[in-house]
Amino acid sequence: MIRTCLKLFFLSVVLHASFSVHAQDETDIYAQIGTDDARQFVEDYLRPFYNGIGFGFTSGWYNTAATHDQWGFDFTVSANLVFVPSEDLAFQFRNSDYEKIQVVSADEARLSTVFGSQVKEERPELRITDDDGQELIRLTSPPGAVNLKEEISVNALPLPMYQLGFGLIRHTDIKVRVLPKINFEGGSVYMLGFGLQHDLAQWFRLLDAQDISIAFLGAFNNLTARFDLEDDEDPRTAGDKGVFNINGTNLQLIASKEYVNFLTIFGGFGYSRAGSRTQLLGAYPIDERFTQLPEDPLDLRYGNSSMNLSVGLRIKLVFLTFGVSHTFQKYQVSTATLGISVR
Amino acid sequence: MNISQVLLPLLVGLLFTMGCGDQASRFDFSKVIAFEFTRNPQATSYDTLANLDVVNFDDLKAYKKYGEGYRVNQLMYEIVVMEENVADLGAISGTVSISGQEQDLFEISELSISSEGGVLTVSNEMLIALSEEIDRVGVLSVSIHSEADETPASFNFILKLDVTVSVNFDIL
Repeated sequence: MIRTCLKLFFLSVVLHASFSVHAQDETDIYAQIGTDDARQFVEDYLRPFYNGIGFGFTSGWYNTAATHDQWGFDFTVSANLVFVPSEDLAFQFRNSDYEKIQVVSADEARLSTVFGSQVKEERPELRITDDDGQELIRLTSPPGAVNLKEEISVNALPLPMYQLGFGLIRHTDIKVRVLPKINFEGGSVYMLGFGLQHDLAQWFRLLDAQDISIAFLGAFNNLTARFDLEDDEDPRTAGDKGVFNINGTNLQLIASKEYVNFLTIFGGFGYSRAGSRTQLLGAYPIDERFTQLPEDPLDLRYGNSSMNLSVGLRIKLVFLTFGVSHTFQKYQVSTATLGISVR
Repeated sequence: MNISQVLLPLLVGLLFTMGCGDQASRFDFSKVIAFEFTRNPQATSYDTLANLDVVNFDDLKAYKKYGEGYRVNQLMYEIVVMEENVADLGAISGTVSISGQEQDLFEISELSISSEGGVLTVSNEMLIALSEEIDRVGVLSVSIHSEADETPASFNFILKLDVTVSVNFDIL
């Protein structure tokens, strides 16, 4: 059951879901609307989801510019809220970009993305045609799959993260985000990320005297999830799987100053980039009356990069730390952190 | 196999797995469905009565259990002429039973039997009545009367209904 749900979830996320993607009495939407149309629609529909994950994935690396003393360490859990811009709740659909899907009422229209409107009256009607241009059906365009505003009262994607930090020599911290490979029924997931934060203020006497910390942070992390999509009853699907991979890079110049021994105000300026890839690998046989899907039928790649500016504050009570910050960029991110920090 | 049979499980799967709200489970699916009326080629005047099982029509029955309402948007027709046909001109009219009352549906008084088809002129009130009848009983009882100037009048009349079914996948 879990395996089935995972299959469904994965396939649904890439919008090629069908309860019976392998079944002979059903066919895949690819077969009807063409691989290119389907891929383009799915890419546009899911873009805010992958952008949101990307921007969230590169957030929360720091809550102070001050580095640990040697052998000092911290463990920090962060909750990121990635705000989806209102313009990305819908995407511009142009009939000229598609062959077999068309908006009925105009040459182009705004259609819901994965976080877009679910209201039927706000979803334009689409026409799907066959190879000869004959209408097969008209239907209300797909709704947003998740109504964030209804679920969490704001159009933002929540993403948790955690990391460990260790003080090395010369006020340089190494930060680690690691999730050992976890195998579960029907799949596996693992994550590995590293960051280095170096205190620059130690090299500038004036800054050191003002008790201002300046640091440079470089960080990279990667997450890979695999889902087994084999159909036990169809040997042709042996080895079928879905793979989701995302990596993020973050380069930041950070400044912070501690007040009254427990309050730290910090800010950062820099650049982040995230890239993701979602693949359906293997053979997915469909009804023999239709053109079969190509081997490895889906390969979605997204990338986003942005300059960004962050501000925040951190409170440290003995070993406990609490922090909040906000990052200004295309997908703005609010972060709350909770952790322990020693030395 | 048709697109509706593909989209239904696709959408249900999407909605169930993503836990969408009530609004997201609402769709309109529109399809042109066709019913063919055959006639006796040796008769210049001929009546054909048929019950058009709209809700169980192949392309629409997948939505039956989710359907909240049907709407007839337009009526069209097509003439299929067989080789042995010699008739050139004719007339065709249709009546429909609405709540047990026979009502005029359309009339083509001067029909060129070689013509391929077109849109039938039907009032909005009639379209609403047809929609309500489908909502009520799912079936339209239609009678087609055809006239031809000569025999053999070997042609069939195809009545096409552009029908929208409003579905709510949440109603199960």
